[in-house]
Amino acid sequence: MTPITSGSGKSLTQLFVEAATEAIEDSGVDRIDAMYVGNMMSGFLQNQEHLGSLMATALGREGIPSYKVEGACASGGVATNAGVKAVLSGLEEIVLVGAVEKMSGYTTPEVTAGLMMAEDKARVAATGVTFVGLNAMIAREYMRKYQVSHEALAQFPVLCHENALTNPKAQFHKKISADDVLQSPLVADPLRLYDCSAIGDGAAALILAPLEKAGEFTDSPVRIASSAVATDTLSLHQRKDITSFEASRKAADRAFKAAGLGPGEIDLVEVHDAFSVLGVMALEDLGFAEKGSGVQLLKDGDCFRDGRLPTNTFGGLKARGHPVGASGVYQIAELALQLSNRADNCQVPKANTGLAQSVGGIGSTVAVHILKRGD
Amino acid sequence: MVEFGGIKGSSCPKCNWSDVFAIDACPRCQSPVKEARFSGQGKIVTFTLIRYPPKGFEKEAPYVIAMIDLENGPRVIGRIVEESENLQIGQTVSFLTISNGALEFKVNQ
Repeated sequence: MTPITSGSGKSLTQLFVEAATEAIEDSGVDRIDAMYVGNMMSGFLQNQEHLGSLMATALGREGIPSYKVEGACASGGVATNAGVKAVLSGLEEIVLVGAVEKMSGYTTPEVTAGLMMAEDKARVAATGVTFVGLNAMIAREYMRKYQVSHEALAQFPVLCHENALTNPKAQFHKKISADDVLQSPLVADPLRLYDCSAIGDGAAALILAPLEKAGEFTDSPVRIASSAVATDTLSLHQRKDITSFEASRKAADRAFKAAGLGPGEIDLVEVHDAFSVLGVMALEDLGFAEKGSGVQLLKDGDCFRDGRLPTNTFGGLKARGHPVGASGVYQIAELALQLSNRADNCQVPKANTGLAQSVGGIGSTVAVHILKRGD
Repeated sequence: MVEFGGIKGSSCPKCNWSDVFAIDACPRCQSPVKEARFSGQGKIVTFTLIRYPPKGFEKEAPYVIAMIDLENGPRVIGRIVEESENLQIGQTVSFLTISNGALEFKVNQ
């Protein structure tokens, strides 16, 4: 994982190579059979596509099969799902899944327009709405429907900023309070600056292999117990209930069934808190809280690293950072560090199982992974 | 999405699915759709005020965006020509016009 910054000064390729090289060296593998590159906006922002061949070439691995996988902000999660399937198929043995996004160096209106590529051009983007705006409309209805205060939602970014304090790679190292959130500038009413993840550059990578093969390289492999992707309608207005993401519920249901686990058996989670309200909704959609009561987990202190369900233990999208297409791989890499006791100052006391949820578009694509200690 | 004092779109005679665009077949049940005319009366489901617009909309900001349930029609995203402080979920609105491809509404007094 590269550190996440809002001005890395590095190119898309440099970021990817840095993360991929670290993963290859850390794993000790002697070859890569296939590569999956998660990314959302390289075509729009960098005028660069064909990342499969581009990144294989940059790593001196041209010749292997290599693919770009795009699923908006869930690109990293979806790329991991593709990599898992390649290994499970038996066609590939050692697979590199890397994901990268470079968002700095462009104006906010440019990046905002790039993110809108994930929505319906004619029915939604043509109105001038932004992704913050779509999530603001969710937040307004969520707060009304469940009588949840903005102050209660604000506990999510507060948690993430607290957890990021001990993550040297996090974008923000700044403790904040709920008051700070409520007094930060409005971006799209009712969402404010500190409700929202920021623009950042970053890349993260994983090495996947059959468990017995992984045992040749490491004493502490982490098992991917299940990997699931689900889709919903592309647009929010095509759904009846806008306070829950059905794709999250479907992907979680599939992932839990495939892993033979339930929400009560998960020790820690990494959820897609691009906006405060999404973090809270994720806790509900993934089965950790009833609808409308996700904020209770925050209030009870369950989500802190010493709580019952440590959440976003490296700072989440809000404070670790959200280089959009890469975030899904950061989450899984962070879970892997936790489950192999290598999370340093972010380490949680009990870490045998973990779940990561990555959301693309406005809940239109969701990837859920469940990981277990491999030993 | 042709304007005629209301909104012209499509609806599915078989499953009642509808859209403000002319399309060939219902995405829900694949039946052929027929042309539909929506009065343009609707109700606000939720709304926001866009303060940081995407490229191309800079000169228009800030502006109100709402999700609206059209009477006998689909749910849509559109603009509302009104100060956001005066808006509430559940208020009724009327279709005004189509501006640069976006549906525009006003609040009913």
